[in-house]
This record gives sequence, C-alpha cells and structure tokens, in this order.
Amino acid sequence: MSDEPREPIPPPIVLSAEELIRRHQVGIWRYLRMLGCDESLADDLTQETLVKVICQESFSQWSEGATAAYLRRTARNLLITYHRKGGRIRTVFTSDPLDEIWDRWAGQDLSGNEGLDCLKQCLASLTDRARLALRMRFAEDATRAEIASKLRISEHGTRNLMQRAKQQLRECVELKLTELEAARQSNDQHRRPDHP
Amino acid sequence: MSGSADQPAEKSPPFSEAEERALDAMLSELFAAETRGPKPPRDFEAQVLTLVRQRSGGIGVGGTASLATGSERRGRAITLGAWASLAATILAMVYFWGGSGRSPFATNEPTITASGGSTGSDSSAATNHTDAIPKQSQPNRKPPVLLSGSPASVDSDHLGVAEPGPLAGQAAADGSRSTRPRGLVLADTASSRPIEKEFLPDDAGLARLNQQFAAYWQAIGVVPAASAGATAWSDRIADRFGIVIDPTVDNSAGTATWSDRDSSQQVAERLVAQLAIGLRLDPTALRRLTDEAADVIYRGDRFDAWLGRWVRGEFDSAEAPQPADSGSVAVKPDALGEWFASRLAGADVGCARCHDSPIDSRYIQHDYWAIVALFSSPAAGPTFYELKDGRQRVATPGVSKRWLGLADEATFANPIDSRETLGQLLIGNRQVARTLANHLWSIGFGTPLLAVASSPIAPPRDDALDQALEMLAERLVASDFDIRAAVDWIINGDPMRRGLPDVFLQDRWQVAPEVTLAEASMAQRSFAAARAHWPAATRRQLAAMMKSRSSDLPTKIGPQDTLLAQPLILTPPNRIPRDLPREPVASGDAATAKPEEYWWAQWMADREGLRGGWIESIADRDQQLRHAFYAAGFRQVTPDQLRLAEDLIGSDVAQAVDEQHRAVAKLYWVIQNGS
Repeated sequence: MSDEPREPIPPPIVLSAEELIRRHQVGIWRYLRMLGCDESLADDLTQETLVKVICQESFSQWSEGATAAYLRRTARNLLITYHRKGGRIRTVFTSDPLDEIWDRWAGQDLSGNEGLDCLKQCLASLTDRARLALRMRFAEDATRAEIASKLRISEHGTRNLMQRAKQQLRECVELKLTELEAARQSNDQHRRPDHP
Repeated sequence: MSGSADQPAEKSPPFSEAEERALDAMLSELFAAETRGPKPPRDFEAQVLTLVRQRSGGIGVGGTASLATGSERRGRAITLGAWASLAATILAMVYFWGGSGRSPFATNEPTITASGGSTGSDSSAATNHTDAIPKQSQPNRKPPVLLSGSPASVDSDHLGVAEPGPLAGQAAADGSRSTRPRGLVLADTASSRPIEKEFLPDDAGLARLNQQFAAYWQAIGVVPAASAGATAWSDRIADRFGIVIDPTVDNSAGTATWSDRDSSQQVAERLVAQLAIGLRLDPTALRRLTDEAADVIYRGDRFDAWLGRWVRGEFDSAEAPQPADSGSVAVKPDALGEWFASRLAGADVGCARCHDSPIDSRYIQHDYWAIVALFSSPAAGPTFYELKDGRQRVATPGVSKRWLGLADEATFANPIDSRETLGQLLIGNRQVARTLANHLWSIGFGTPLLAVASSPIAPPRDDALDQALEMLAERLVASDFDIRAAVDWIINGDPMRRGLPDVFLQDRWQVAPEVTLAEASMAQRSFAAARAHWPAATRRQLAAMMKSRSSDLPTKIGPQDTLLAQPLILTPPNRIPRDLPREPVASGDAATAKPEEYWWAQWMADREGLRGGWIESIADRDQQLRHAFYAAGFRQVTPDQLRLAEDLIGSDVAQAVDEQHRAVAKLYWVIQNGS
C-alpha cells in the first residue's frame, strides 16, 4: 500500500474589510434572526459585530469557517450584552445546536441563501392548508385561534398541523442541501486533473 | 417527501428546539418577502466602514482595511510580549533590591497575605504599616474538605455541631480552624481579598455535591431536564444573583467576577432582602444594611461576624422610635425575635407564635416568646403571651441553645440570655451557616434548598437534600463565612445548569397532558429543572398582572381555572405601591411572554402536583383559610382577605376530598407566590 500524498493545506484566505463585510453580513444577519432578533436589532448588531471584529487588533483570518464561527460568536455575545443592558432576561437557550444547524443550512456562501432557496422549493410540496396555516402564522402574525377559525379546526389541530408541516419542511430542506452538497463534491472531483 | 402535512407523519428524528427556531426565522423571512415584496439584500458596507474609520482613525490606503494574517500578528505579539516581560523583570528587580535591600528569595521573613496582595516586604516596612493592612500570619487552615458529608455527620435533631469550650476560646478550641482572629474586619481597605483557592469549587467537590442531587432525584422519581448550555446558565445567574459571567470563557475555577464590586453589591441586595423578610425596614435602613453587607462580601470578610453585630443591636436605634429615613433599624421586638429565629437560626416558627408547633416538636411557644422578650427593650416592660386556652404568661428573655444547634436538651435551663452573647455565638455557628446557605439557595432558585416542614408545597424531603445543604454549610464554615465562595458553589452545581422542562418550551404546556405538567412541576420544585422566565415571585409581579387585566376586583377562579386578580388577596388596594419598580421583562423563546402568561403556565404545571399538606387537616374551614395565610407569613388575616380567599377556592363544603386538597393548595400557591 502506498502512502497517498496529502493534499497541501490551502493558505488562509485573507479578506479585506470590504470583502469581509460583503461575504459575511447576510449570514450574520440571518444568524441573529435565528437567535430571536427582530429585523432592526439584527441590522444594528450585524453592523456592530463587523465593526468590532474589523477594529480588533487580535483578529486573524485562519480560514473562512473559523472566521464565520468567530463572527457568529461575537454577534451572539453582543446580543447577550444587549439583553442584559436592557434588563431583559433570556430564558434558557443554547446556541450551540443552532451553530450546528447554521453550519448545515448556511450553504457554501455562508449567507443562508441556499437554505432559503431550498425552503422555498419545499414549501411548494406542502398541502394548501398547511401552507395557508404557515403563511398566516409567519406573514400575518395570526394567533392559533385565528388560524383554527379560518381552517375550521381546533386550536390543538392547528398546532399539530403546523408542527407536522415544519417537520416535513425540515426533512425536505435537509435532503435538498445534502443533494446539493453531493453534487458539489461530485463536480469538484470531476474537475481534478489527476483523478483516475 | 414524507407525505402530506395533513396526515400523521412517519417517525422521524425529533424536531429540536434549535432546528425549530432556525426554521421559524427562515419562514418569517420567506413569507415576509412574499407579502411585502422582495427587499434589496442588506448591505452594511458603507455604514460599517464609516464606523471603523471613526473608531480607528483610518483603515489603510484608499479606504481598504488591511487585516493581518495570523502569523503576522503572532510575530508582532511575540516581539511586544518579549519586551514587556523584560521590562517587568527589570522593574521587579529594581523594586526588590533597590527598595527593600533584600533579595526576593529570602524566606526567613514573614510574608503579608492580605487583600492588598503585597508580599515580600521587609519586617520594618511591615511593622510600620500605618495604612493598615494588618499583618497576619499565614492562616493555619486544615486541608480542604471535599464535601465529605457522610451520613453520620448529619444529626437531624441537632442541626449543628456542639462547640465546646468557653466563648473566648471557641476559635482556639478547634485547632483545625483558621487562626485569623474571629470577627476581624479589614476596615481600612477598600479592595477585595481574593477567595482562597481551596474554598472554590473543585471537580471532586462538585461531583460529591451533584451526587446528592442525583440521588435525590432518583429517590423521588424525577427525571432532570437537559442541561441548559453555557449562555443560558450565565443568563440565569445574572437574573438570580445579578452577577455577570462570560459564558464563552472557561469558568471551571473561581467563577464569578468578584473583583468587580458590583457583583458583591448585587448579592448583598438579594441576601439582605432575604434576611430582612418580616422586618419591614424603611428604605434608608435597608440601603444602609445592604451597603455594609456589600462591603463585607466584597472584602471577603466574615459574614457571620457582621450578622453578629446586627444581632447585638449595633444597627438598632435607641429606645425611642426614630424618624423615617434615619437609617436606623428600628423594628418591633416580636418582629426582631421572629426574624432572628427564622432568618438566622432557620427555625420554623410560624406555629410557635400561637401554640407549640404540631409539625416540629423543637419549636414551642414558650421558646418563641422568650426570644421576643430577649429582643425587647427593658423599657417596654415584661413580654406577655397568650396560651391557646387564653391564659397569659410572662416570657423569660432567652434563646434556647438548641435553636442554634448547640449542646443538648438539658440546656433548656440555661438559655442564652443576652443579645451580646447571642451575637458572639453566631460566629462560626453551623446552624447559621446552614441557614445562610439556604438563603443563598433561595436567591438562586426562588425556594430554599430545604424548605420548612410546614410548607405545603415544598418538594419531598430527603436525606440527600439535607446532605447537600450540610455540604454547602460546611464550605461556608471552612471559608470563614466568605459569601463569595458559597455563591460560587451554588452557581456551579448541577441544578443551576438544568434547563427548562420540555413541556415549557414553546407553547407545549398549553396542550400537554396533566401528568406531564405535574412531572414538570415536580422537576422544577425539586431543582431538577429551571423555572420559566425567572422573575422574582413578588407582589409587584402579580399586581402588574392584575393591572394588565384591568381588573380591580377579585373573582373566584373561573372556567378553565382562570387565575384573575389574585393580588388583592395578598395586597389590599391601599397597600399596593404607587410606583411599581420596573421588573425585568422576561423574554420567551421565540415570542415575548407577558408576566401573566408565565404565572398561568406555572400554575398549570404546579396545580396538579400540589397538595395542601397539613393545612387541609384542619377541620374548621375558617381556621383552614387563616392558616394558609399564616403559613405564608401573614401575621393577621383581615375579613376582606378571608372573603377573597373564600371567593378563590369556593365555599362548597360538599367538595370531594381531592377537590378540597386542590383548593387549599391552590390558595396557598397564590398567597405564597405573591408574598
């Protein structure tokens, strides 16, 4: 058995400030939204995160993944500080699993656009009732009672309907993202000149 | 695809809260775009670059920031670090050799270990210290006891360890204790003495402590909730203790930031509030006590010594009542007596005011009034009390030593007969340590670790819980009542790291079966799970809930057990404070929950698991209602309050036994949560 030569470790990608902002701002914003921020707060904290990191002497860009993780951590800490200053107490919540999910759904461009595109496609596969329930909930901020009344089911039924729909969406999005990743890897392999 | 959303889904991996949160955020964005039309992608580049320029004075040529790679920064850091080290070394050498005339390596001179942290001064400099960090010999402490807590050391009848020997020699009698003079207060220094490492939580000690809780939960059949995660843990600590801990750093050793006085102030506020329950101090007096306590905590001084001063009356006013805002602690003697008994000695004296306690035979009416008499001013004359049959007795001032866990039953004939002596005996007392540890636990969890036996809604008692309290008390004693060390143990224990019960996540409690809610409630009450939102259970909270429902009058619990306007039971309209301090707004998982939603959710969980306890055994209905108030600490019950209590639980005497249990427990829960 021969030792296969290891692939050389690519040099770290060093982005300028402008490139850093363009590359990561959408991802940070979406991550903050996942942590529960509304749009305005997410806007503010995204800017603050980027300013803080760029102004930091000790920030080093080892790799894109590391940079993204560091930016998320900074954003999260700023959110905690914001809540504390305002005297708001967060209930028990851990963002470590959220980081894992973000890593899966953020996509190659780290912005979450891939995940969002997959979600849009998966929505089309739901029944009309399920889609209506979700639209009322997320676009119109309808209460469960209002949704139940519209669909002529009980509130309990509404909750179950939306839970099942979200479960279905999650599975669909995961599947599509996995397919995308597999396709990407396959393309990468085909591009290698020395691939047998 | 796994099938239509209208059909029951096939079994798939459980949908975690984090996944649901992520999906919700994306759905919000997607539907918002559909509804409002696509928005241009967010672009903060211009704003961020402007801010960066303002803060750093420019980011390079042509507005392009140059962000160094790691290796470049490392190189710079090493060079700077080397120079800094060299400079520090040179300065140190100059200080030691130039200032003291001695090599820093000489070991035959005593070192000063005090809060200033200075070491290595020569003897002449030490004795000439007039800026008053007293010179101390190295404390002769015993090796750290890793929370041994063997069952043999816990005696439920004598909740402390007898301290033989004369008072003056109390410290010397126990050679294993510190030789630091007791009650010494480093009055002239404003800086914090670092907590000695041996008193900080260590892995083995924490493991022993956590074992007790694991054993307890197993014994009562409770499944603890999942761990909450570092951020939630630090949030909880910030909420309960007011201490800020950075969840992103390793907090395994010496956790809380005690170098910042704010932490001590926050803890002092809460601890003094706990200690002062029942005293009804005016705000100025409370503020004064709190500030003093904060100083004691910050400096790492003996908290028992400070309590001793309080008991001896150093904070009291003169006999004549003082005007309000005078800052003196002037309270009625019976309030003081009960305060000492319950808040310092940890005694369950709710019953003993009127009769011998039917729940705990240690607490008899005679002893209770003897304490009251001890705290009365001689000018007020003898203290009378009334027996159940109406006869009157004169109380002999004194405190039975068994209330402090000292000596044996025979000392009934030789009670402690002066506040001065009592204050001295508090120092180093294990019973006081247990009570303090219990107070700190109450701050962290909302309820004491070991509730009084008369509490109808306390979780089941178990030896393991008693062991855990004993361990915490032991740490307090070993550290010379350094409150900071005790707090560190509590915030690092397993219970503080537990998350919410699953059923409280999102809105699941709304549709959960009763048995699940009862299990969640039991887990919370036995510290195996966190309580939602963690606002302090105060009158103000429930009063705010009442206001939000725009209801002035109480109503009985109506259809679907709606809980309305309960605060009137607890706080008659003329006693509701005009300016309600702003409570922290508790934010929920995804949506923001109002305080009344929290109470409603908690009530839904608690109600099935509660029992009325000894209250329901009282045959007379009127007495039953009154005792629900007494058990919650009310001294007197007004006719209005009784009427409102009747409204709350209904007056149907033909209720089934189970219904009666629930009704009484319901009443007590409402009163307790509002007091």
